[in-house]
Amino acid sequence: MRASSAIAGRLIGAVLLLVAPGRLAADVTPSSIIRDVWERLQQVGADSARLSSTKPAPRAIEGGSGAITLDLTDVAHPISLEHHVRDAVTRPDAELRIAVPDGQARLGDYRIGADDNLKGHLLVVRGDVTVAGRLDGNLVTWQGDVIMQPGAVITGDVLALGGEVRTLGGEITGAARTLSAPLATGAVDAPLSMGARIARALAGVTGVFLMLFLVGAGLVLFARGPLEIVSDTVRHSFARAFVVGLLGQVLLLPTFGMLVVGLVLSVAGILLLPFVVVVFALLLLASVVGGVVAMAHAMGETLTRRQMARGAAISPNAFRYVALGLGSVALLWLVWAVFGWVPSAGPIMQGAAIIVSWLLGSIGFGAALLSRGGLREHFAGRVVPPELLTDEYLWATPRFGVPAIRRPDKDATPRSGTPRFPDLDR
Amino acid sequence: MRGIVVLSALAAATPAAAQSVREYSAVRQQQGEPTLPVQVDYVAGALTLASAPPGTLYRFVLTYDEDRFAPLAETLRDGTLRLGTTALGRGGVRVASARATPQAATIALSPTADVDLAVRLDAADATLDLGGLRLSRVSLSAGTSRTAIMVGRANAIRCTDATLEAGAGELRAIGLGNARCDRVTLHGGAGRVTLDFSGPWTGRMTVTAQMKVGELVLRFPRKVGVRLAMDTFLATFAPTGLASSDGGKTWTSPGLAQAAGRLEVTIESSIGGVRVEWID
Repeated sequence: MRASSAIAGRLIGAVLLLVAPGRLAADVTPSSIIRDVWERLQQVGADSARLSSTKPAPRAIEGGSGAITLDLTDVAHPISLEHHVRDAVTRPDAELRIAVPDGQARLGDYRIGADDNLKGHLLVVRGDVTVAGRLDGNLVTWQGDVIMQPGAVITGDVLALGGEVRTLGGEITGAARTLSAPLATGAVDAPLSMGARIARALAGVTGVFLMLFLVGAGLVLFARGPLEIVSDTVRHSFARAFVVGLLGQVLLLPTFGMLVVGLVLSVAGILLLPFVVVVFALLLLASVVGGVVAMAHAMGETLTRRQMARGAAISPNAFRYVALGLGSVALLWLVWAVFGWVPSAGPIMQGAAIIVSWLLGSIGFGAALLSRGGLREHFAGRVVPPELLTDEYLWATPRFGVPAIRRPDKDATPRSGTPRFPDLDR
Repeated sequence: MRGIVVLSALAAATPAAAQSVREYSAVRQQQGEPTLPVQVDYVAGALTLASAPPGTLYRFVLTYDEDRFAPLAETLRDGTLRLGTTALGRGGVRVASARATPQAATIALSPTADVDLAVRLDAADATLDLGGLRLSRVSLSAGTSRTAIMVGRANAIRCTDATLEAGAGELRAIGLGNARCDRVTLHGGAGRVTLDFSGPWTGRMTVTAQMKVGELVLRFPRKVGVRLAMDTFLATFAPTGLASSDGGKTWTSPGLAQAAGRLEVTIESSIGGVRVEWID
């Protein structure tokens, strides 16, 4: 009867909590209401189970040989104490052996009468403690409540693990602490199964490279000239592009810092600061993504030309170049996605994929910097420097020894308009 | 083919696991303690601090994620009461389920003991209602928190010192006149700080504010005499209702000499802005 009334009270309390005005209207959604009701019902169910479960018959828990010692001198750290108590009470009730230095342990409900004066610490397992008299020491309960009656005195701390401290009167000179049982609430992602992990990794890799291909296709369609210049810069100034890309990464933050400081010091430039920050970020993003696409273009072009040299009948076009280059890089990541779960080998594959991607990205970034975003052909191998010109280009037209052809006579022009060449006719 | 895809998706799906949230409470009855030094360390979540009913020394109620945090409620050797949470190595906030598992704490402190309060917040959303407490000293380090200090009722004792440190979050201190502190020191970072000095003014308060990048809003009651010294570097200053006689270094309010209450404010601001508002 008492249990059912308590449950009813808790249900009413749950309903009152739900309709309490403390929550903002904006926070209340149908899903939140359902979740709250479910949590309250779970809590009520747990309390009901605890109340209706048969409590063990009250008795003292003996110490002696094989007993686990629980020191209740300091109960200010309930987490560690809870671990120790849990370890001690895992045995069946009949086999419980707990020793409490300067105190005692009991199983089931326990009452300290109004005339009782108990010395030492007290541990009560799976039972409520009703205190009407005096306890000189700390009191700890495991899955039980502490009920303080008027006139009761506890000259120490109280800790209820999985229970409550109900004060109807009396005095606790120390602190009264409660630590609830874990409440299952909310939902977080559980560790994924191997299949799910592989599927997720494959989806991630496919998504990223598909996105890069779409960006590349856009560049081919709308900025083919600059893309090919950056791509040619990669092919013709490979090492230079890598060094520039590396330096670019190193100098990125200092450059940004100097830019910001310069604008701030110029006072008037402060107004431009937000604009410059956004533009800087966009330029950086464009350089990196464009560089990566151009790098893929260069790789794809090289691979395609090799295939054609071997006699393959394929169509050389920029879309194929980009797709082939990105696919080559994606292969590394796909291998990691499938076999990344293998101990030791998985991180190595991931590391290799990261390093290769970084190297290619650095080269592409450097090429983008070198070619000023595809506007400068100097490093793209399209302008032949004079020192690379062979003698063939240096041959001068001879001024002597070559007879000049005679002009045709005006009169010799036939009506049909065909010029006549007297020397040849002769 | 579609069936195979659906079955594969179902096979790949795993059930969601429940998150473990616990409730912890610590209460202590007051037994004539004249002073109560309190140190609050709170990592993340909502925090409310207010005065307790008479007869209670302190009450601390916490709902926390036991996978990431552990409760703190202990009395240190020097007698300082330490309340709050500590991170278990994987600290932080579960962003995905922050709504479902809000970490929240409520602290109530004795209204009859002289409270020396030190609060250190990391990423919290804190409301410190200090009205009704006997504050002897206040110290706040707000980190990246959003913090509101409200002193709705006059402090029964004189507070010697209030030190406020605001990092990148937002700090509002309302009713500092009620706090009756001799000195208020502010170390502002990149966030916005509002200092509202409303309250019954009879004495004198010295305010030192150092702002780096953020904005500082000063709200003065009209009945208070204000003397404000500025040291700024690239900071904007809107001295509404103040007059300067030395080229902008020192500003004073009208009727400074006759005012019963007096505020001596010194501001050092690097980049940012300082704004003055008046309240009736």
